[in-house]
Amino acid sequence: MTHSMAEKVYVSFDGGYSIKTQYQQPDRYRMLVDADAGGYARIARGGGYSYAAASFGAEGVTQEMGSFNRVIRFVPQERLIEVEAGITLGDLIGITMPQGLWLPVVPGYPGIMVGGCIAANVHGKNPARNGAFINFVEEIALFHPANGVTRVSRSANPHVFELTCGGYGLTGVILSATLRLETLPGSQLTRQRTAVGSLVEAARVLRELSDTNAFAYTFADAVPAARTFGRGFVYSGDFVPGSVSRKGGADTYQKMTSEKRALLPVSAWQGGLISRMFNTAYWTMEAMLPARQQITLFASLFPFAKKTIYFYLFGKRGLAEYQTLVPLDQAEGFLQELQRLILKKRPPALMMSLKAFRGRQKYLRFERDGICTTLNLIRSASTLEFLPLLDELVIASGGIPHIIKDSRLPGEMVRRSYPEYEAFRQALHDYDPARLYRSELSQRLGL
Amino acid sequence: MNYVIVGASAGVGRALAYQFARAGHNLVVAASDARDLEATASDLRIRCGVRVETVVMDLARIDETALRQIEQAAGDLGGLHGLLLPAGTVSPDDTAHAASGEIDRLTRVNYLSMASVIQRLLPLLQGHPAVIVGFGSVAAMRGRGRNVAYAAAKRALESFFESLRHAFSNTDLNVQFYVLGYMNTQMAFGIRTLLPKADPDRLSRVVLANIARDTGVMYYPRYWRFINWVIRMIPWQLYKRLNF
Repeated sequence: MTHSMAEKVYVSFDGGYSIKTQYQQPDRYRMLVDADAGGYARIARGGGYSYAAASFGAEGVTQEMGSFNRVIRFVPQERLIEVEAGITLGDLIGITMPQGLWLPVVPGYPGIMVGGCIAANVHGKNPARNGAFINFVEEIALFHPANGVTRVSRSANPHVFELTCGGYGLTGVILSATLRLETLPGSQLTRQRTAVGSLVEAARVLRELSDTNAFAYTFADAVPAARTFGRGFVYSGDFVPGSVSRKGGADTYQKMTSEKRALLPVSAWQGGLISRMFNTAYWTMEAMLPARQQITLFASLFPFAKKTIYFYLFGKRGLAEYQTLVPLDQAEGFLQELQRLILKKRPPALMMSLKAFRGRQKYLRFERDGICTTLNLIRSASTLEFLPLLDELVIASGGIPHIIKDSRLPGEMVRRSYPEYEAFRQALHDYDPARLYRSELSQRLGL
Repeated sequence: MNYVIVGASAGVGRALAYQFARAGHNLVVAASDARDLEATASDLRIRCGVRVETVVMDLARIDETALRQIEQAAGDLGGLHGLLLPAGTVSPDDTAHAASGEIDRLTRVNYLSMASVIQRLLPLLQGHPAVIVGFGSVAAMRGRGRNVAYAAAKRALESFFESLRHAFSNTDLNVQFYVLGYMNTQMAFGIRTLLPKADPDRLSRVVLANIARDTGVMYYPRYWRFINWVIRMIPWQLYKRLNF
């Protein structure tokens, strides 16, 4: 038995790729699991916040998972929660916080869903201390028409577990996941702002603060102007002991989708002058605030929850986000070379961010020991000319690009930079010779 | 208070279950698939902290066991204050040429099984203030070449509720009936509709807000009452030429 399909236009969050394709909105298990014997290609979609087109493509059907958003089991004493893949992180934190528990690894927007976090193996505000999302996944219920529903974990079907965490949804539909939570030291944090004058200085300060703080990251000015490029702040912070709220952890946030993000017909970031004015205003306002502030856990985990305007202003043309992880011993050289490249080529860059990472690189997962650099640019012809130069710099520095962050990233770049690209591809084909789960991302990367 | 919701794992039924649980009401939730039912019940217990019992019940094949289970679960809650019946199904094969088995299934799910559940739980709903809420469809306004058995069953259900309302008009049992327009549920997914699809969450808020009121027959969205009147006024010579 199959169920209804309809057509709509999907847009990657960065606005770089869009296509009209078929989709389903299953709201009960029989539609998802009993639906058919696998006669057509498909891919699951969570919140749709991937910058790359990971949940849709020219081939196959998109299965929207938003109705599968329930908590199946929650045992606070064991610090375990089993949730369906479509639950949002904001919802999840709202349920666990009153029990004095939290998930330390979450990306910056509360509308992102757990299934997507597993598929992209996302990171949080301090990957040097907490690693990536996989570290908090105990078990996954995975559906593939050829295998039915299987439970995969580090002990049961470990090879499928490894392929699924950071597997971009290509092993099947993640139905639910059991997550390991941590005891929440407090629901309030102190946030310390440290001013830095350059990217290299920011990286040094960041490495010192990452080991001793619950979160640590930087924001830096990336507008190509020699006088201001690289100036920024390192934000770090830790819990205020004993500040756990039992009243509930969820906060309201601005609802945003990738389609709505692209509604503005033109980008407000026209030309370098507006970008410089914006950054100057931001830096001036930040500098006026106290260097040490108390903030809620929600605000700390989801800095973009109430700042979605930043993304809307890129308009229909969109933005480009380039995220790369470079080994520690190459980081300073990479940052200096990046500065030189940006000042020379003058792409429409806006902001940068750095994070310290610790982890083991496996398959196509964005994890290793190193410094993560994120660069936001206005999507334009000059940006698309600049990014291949950045690709080469990353290769020369021994870095890896974040696949989920770039709808343009060529498959060849992934093959050259990820040592286990071929191993991942082979394991995926061994697991699923028919390669039923496909997206634009998987096609582009030759998976 | 304690409510039974039949068809609670998806669509309007699921929205009602969350709305009533958030208001602190204990629930018996019934649906055909144990996987959806258990997931919904667990989530309601964890998020809302209310008592939730489950009954797996396929309205196409309702039997004595299922009726006994729902009666037992409702009794276990310690008194029943309401029965909500938002379940229903449509079929693409529901035309004038539909097979008798399909007509039988659609009639059972959309009318006969509802009547059986009401009949079985009626003793638990009498002698104290209580409510029965039925859900019909604008498809039953006038017969068409599509949704033939579905529309007939929903019209039968509407008539059944009118009779219930008449029978219990001077008692504490409040009988309500909602005639639903296009709803944003799986039933209407992928179908282009002339008017916008209504949000089940909004409907559930309306139902909860009205639960203690003698509302009789309500249309949701409300403009469907006017459309219903217009459609019924169309002379047959013109109506038979319409294709909708």
